Amino acid sequence: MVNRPDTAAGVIGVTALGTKVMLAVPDDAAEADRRLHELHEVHEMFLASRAIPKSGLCVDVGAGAGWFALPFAKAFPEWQVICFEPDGDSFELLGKNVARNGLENVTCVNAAFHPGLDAADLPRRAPGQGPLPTALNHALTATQKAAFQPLPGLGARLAPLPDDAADAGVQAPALSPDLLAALAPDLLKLDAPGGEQAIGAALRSVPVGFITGQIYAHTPAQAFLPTPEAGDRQYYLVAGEHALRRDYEDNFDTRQNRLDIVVAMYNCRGYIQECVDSLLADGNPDIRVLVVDDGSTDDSGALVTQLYGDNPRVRLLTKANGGCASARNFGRMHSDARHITFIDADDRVDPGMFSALLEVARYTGTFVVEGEFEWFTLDEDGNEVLTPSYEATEHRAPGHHRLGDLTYRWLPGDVVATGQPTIWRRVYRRDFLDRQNIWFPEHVRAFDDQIFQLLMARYCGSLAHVHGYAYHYRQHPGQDIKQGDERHFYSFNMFRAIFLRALDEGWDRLDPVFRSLLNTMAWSYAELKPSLKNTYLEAGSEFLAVVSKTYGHNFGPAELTATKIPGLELMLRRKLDEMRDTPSNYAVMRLESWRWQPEFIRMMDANRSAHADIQD
Amino acid sequence: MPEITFSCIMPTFNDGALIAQSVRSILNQTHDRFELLIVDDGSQQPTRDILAGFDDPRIKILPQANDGVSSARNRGLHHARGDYICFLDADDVRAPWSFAEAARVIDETDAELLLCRGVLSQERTQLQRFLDDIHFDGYEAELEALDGADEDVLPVIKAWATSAEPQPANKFIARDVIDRAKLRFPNDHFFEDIMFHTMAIAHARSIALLPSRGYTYFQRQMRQQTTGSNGQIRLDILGAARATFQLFEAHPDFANGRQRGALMISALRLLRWCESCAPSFHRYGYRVALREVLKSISPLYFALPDDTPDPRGDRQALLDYAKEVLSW
Repeated sequence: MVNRPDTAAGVIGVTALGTKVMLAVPDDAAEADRRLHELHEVHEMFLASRAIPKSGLCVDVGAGAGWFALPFAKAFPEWQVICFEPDGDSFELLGKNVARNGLENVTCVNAAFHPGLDAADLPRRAPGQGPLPTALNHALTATQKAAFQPLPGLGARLAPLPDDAADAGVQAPALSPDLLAALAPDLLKLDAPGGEQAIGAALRSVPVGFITGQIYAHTPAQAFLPTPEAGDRQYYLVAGEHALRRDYEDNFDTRQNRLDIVVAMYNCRGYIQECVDSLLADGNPDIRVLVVDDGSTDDSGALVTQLYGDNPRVRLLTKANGGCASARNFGRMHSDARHITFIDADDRVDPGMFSALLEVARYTGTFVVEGEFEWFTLDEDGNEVLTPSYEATEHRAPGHHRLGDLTYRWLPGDVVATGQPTIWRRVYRRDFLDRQNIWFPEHVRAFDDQIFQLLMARYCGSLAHVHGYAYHYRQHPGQDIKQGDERHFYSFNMFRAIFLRALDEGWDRLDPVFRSLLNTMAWSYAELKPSLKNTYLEAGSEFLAVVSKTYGHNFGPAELTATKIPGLELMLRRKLDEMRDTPSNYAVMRLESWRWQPEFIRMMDANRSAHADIQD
Repeated sequence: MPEITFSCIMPTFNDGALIAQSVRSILNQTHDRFELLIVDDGSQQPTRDILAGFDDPRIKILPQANDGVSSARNRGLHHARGDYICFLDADDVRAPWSFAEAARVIDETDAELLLCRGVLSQERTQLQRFLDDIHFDGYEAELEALDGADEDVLPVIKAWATSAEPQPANKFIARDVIDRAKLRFPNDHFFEDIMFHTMAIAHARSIALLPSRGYTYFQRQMRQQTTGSNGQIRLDILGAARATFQLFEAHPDFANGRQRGALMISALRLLRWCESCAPSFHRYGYRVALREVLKSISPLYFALPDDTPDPRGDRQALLDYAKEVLSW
C-alpha cells in the first residue's frame, strides 16, 4: 500500500479495497495524508470486516477528490455510487477522476447537506431497487445555496452554519438531509463536519445497512443507532480516540439499543418516586426503567402503577419475594437492552447521569462505565446532605479523556476490585455480563454485590470512570449493612465461590482478591453485633487458613493486624499449625464450614435450641 | 378426607420434556390439597415453554438465575405454605397415592417426619427396589422385635432412618420441623441431600414409615445427572460432608451412637464412591482435602457401636477406607 506520486504531477495511484485507482488530488499534503489514513485505517478496515453485498447503493457524503468513492466503485462494479462534494475545486477533480478511471457506476453531485433546508416530499427508494426513481434523480440536482463555514486545516471541508450566523460564512450548494433518507443508501460513507447529527437523525429509522466514516464534532451516539424499523445496521464511525462500532453483541442481535435500569424495590413507598423521577429527568428515550417489585407488602407496586402507569419508559415487574439478588436477576432476565444497570429503590441520581454513562459506553465500547457516588443523608432539620465518597480524595487525578462535554478516565480492574462494592453506579454491557457469567447469587440475601463487583473487576480489564455525575446512596438505619447480623457471613460463601472459580479458570493474580477479602473482613467485623464476633473470628481465621493452604499463600502480620480483628494472626497461625502436615493443594478450597454460610449458622443455633429443649 | 396440606418442591434446570411426567405425577395425586412449587433454576426456553403449558392454580413457578439445586430447593422452602413439605426432582415421579397415604398416616400418627421406600428405574432390565430398601427392612424388623418393649423406639428409628439413602424424595417433613430446625440445603453444594436428611431426622420428634412405595428414581441415559457425573463436581461432597458432620456434632442426637455411626457409614460410602468417580487428576487433591475433613471432625465419629445399622455389610470396608485416608 505504498502511494507514490504518479508520472503526471498531482496524480497519484491509490491502492485500497483490493483495487487501484488513479486520482488527481489537490496540492495539500496534510489533506492527502488524512484522506489516505481514513481510507486505509477506517473504511478499508471496516469493509474488510463485513460481508458486503454484491450490489447496492453507496452514498459518499464529503467525497473530496473521490478518495473513497472511486476505489469502492471500482472494487464493487455492481454497486451504484453517488458522491456529494460541495467544494467546487474538489468537485471538478472528482469528475475528472471518474472519467480517468473509466467508472460508469458513479454519479457526482456538487452539494453538501445542510440541516436548515427543507425537503420536498420525496418518494423513498426501496431497498434493492435498480435505477433511482425520476423524482429522486431530479431532487439530486435541485440544490439551494446555504451558509457554511470553511474549516481551515481540514482541506476544503465546510461545516453548516445556522441561519443566525449565516453572515459569517460562505454560500455553497446544499441539499436537505431528508434527501439522504429518501435515497436510503445501503452503504453510507460519512465525512460531513458539523452535519453528522442531522444526517444521523434523518437516517435513524431508514434501513441503511452500513455506515463508515468520521465524526468531527461530538455527536450524541443516539443519532447513529438505528431504530428497530431500520433493521440491522453495521456501523463504524471514528471520532478521535473513540468510535461507534456495531460489532460486539453479534450473538445477541435481538437486543435493543437501549439502557435498562433495573430498580430492585422492596417496601420503598416513601422513596420510589424520587428514585424513578431522577432516572427519567433527562428525558432520554433510550433509557427505560424496570421496577422489580420483590413482593413488597406496602403497596409500593400499586404506587408505581399509579405514578407511571402511562409512561412507556417505566415498566413494573412483580415477583414473589426473594431478596435483592433475585430481584436484580429477574429484571435482567426480562430486559432486552444492550446496556443494563442495577440500582436500589431508595436511591437517586444526578439528572443525566445514566445518559452520560451510556454515551461513554457507546463511544468507547467499554464493558463497564461508572459515575461517582455520594452519601445521601438528612440532617436534624430534614435537609438533604450529600457527602462525596472516599473517591473524592483518593481518585483526584482529573479525567484524561474527553467525550463532548464529558470527561472520564480509565480505572484498572484491580483498583475497582478492592473498593467498596458500588455496583449501582455502573452501566454494564449486557453481553459482557452474560459471556462472563456474572450474576448476583440468588441464595445470598445481603452483600450479593460483592461477588458481582469482584468478578466484574476481574474480567473488565479497566472501566471508564466518568466525572461530574453522582449516584446518591441513601444512608438510613434500616439498611442491610447496619444490622450487623449473620448475613455478614455470606462474604465467606462468596469468596469461597470466587476462589473456586479462580482455580477453575487459572487466575494468575490473586492479590486483589486477597486484599478485598481482608478489607471485607475488617469492615464486617467492625459492623457485626458483639454476639457474633467470636464466631466471625473463628470463621475468618479458618477461611484464611484454607486460602493459605490452597495457594501456598502467606498473609503477612501487618495486613492481618490492619483488619483490627483482635487475635486474627494468632488464630490463623494455630489453624495452620493444625494443618501443618497437609500439603498445599487446590482441593483444600473445597472444604466447607458451618461458619461460612448464614443458613448453617442458623441451623447451628437450632441445634443449641434442641439442647435447651431437652434440658427443659 | 384429611385436611393436611402439602407443598411439593420441584427444582428444575433444563429438564426439558422430562419434567412433564414429573409435574403430572403431582397434579394427578389422589389427595388434592397441595401446592407444587417449581423452582426454575435458570432453564433455557424449552423447559420454560413446557412449564408455561401447565395451567393449574396449584402450580407456582419461582424463577431464579441459575444458582444450583440447593439454592433452588431453599427458595422453595422459603415460599412453602403446606403443613408438610416434600421434594421431587424434575425427572422423577411420585406415586399417585403418595400424598393420600401420607395424609392418612399423619392423621393416624401425627408424625413429624414420614419416610418412604422408592422404586429404582435403571437404564436396563426390570424395575427394582430403591438402593436403601434393605435399610427399611432392618428398620421394620427391629421395631417388630421391640414391639411391646418399654424402650424408647425413637433413637432406634433415627439410627435406621439416618442409614437410609439421603434422597430428598423419600420423606415428608412437617413445616414446623423445618422452621424449628432452620433446615436448609447447603448452598453452592451438590451431594446436598446428606445434610438435609441427617438434620431433618435429628430434629424430628416423631417419625413414621409409610407402607407403600412413594416415588420412582430414574437413572437416565441421555441426561447429565449429578450422581452420574464424574467431573470435579465430585469434590463437592467434601464440603457438604464436612458441614454435615459439624452440624450433627452439635445436635443432642450426636450422643446416639447408632445414629452417629449410621451417618458415618453413609457419609463414608458417599465419600469413597465420589473418589472412585473423580477424574484421576483430581484424586490426589481429593485425598488431601478428605484427610483434612476426617482430621477435623469429632473422633467419636470413628467409634461405631457394634449394632450400628449396616445392612449392606460395608461398615468394615468403609472404616478401613477412613483409616487408609488418615494414615496416608
